[in-house]
Amino acid sequence: MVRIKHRYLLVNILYPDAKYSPLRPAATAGDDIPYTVQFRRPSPDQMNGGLLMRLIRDGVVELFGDYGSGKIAGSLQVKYFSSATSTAIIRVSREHYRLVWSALTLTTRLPRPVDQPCVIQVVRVSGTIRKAEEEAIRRARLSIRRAEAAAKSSSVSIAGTIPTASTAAAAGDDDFDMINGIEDPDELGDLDDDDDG
Amino acid sequence: MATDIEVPGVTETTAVTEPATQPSSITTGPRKKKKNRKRAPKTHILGQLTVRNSPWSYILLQHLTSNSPATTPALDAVTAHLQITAALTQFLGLHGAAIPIDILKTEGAEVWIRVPAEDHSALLAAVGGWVSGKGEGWRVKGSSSWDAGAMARDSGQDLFDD
Repeated sequence: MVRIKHRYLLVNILYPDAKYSPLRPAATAGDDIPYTVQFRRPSPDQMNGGLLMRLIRDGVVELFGDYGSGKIAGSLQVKYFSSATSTAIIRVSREHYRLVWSALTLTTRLPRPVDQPCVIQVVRVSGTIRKAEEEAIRRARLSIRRAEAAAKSSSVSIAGTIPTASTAAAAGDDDFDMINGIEDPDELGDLDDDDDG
Repeated sequence: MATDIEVPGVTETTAVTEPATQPSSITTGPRKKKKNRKRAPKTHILGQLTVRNSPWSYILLQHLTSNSPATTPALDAVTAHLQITAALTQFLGLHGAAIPIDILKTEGAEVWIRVPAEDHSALLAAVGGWVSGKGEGWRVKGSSSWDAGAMARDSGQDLFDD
């Protein structure tokens, strides 16, 4: 029985362009909110897992043609998508996950019903969906802490020095990425929950 | 035939040769003494270099159309480039269309092209499986790593000719 190994990509959809967001940011323009907090907006309601699948497939066809789309088609699946946090977990086969990664990196717009400019950022690649989930939770907590720190400091400070200190402390948490890198190594005893291929 | 030129690394001998009626005849006559044999001096090889991997791959393609060969115009380089790029785009996308193709010569319905060696099989697969809207296609007649004539590894088409 052949085990088909997968890779799970944890993906953030960022909206750097403020005027395209469906929501207004809670703070006014003069506040010193870090960009990492500003970019993370909820996605529009029409955005869902199916639309993301279509986006990836069209991207891979454009970049890698019939060959590329044939390589990933069997095992491509959006395992989790939350429009509130604009986070998704995408499953790809282990040998060809880079095709999907590059297609995601080179997307500039969400497809037709939504049609907004965006940036898609792959933040984690792991061999099991559990590790991807844990990473998503860790990052969500981190961004909440950063948002709170930014809100607190903007209400306290008059000069610009205090917010930079507090955001620097929060920024120390994401050196984790720099030390460990985005890709998780395969570990013995990793059980892939869905081996249906 | 007397050899006057001494090529280092090559040993040549002169001998009286008798005309042979069949190419693979076994000479059973008395052994001819080779009196005029010039022995080349022992060669001293200073250095040797063997290059196995060519950076390029030369491919010969034949354009196939549904029209009769008499009525089709001769293939030009622009049409060839357009069609090969379309084939690569369909099979390999943007990544495939970025493969650099040099058109060396067009003659009749044939075109000689050059691609980097690592893209050889990608190009053959793309071009072999492509059909245009009007039913035109490409057939690979041969390829080579070193020879621009591109028939060193031929496609074996003459196996099917009577």
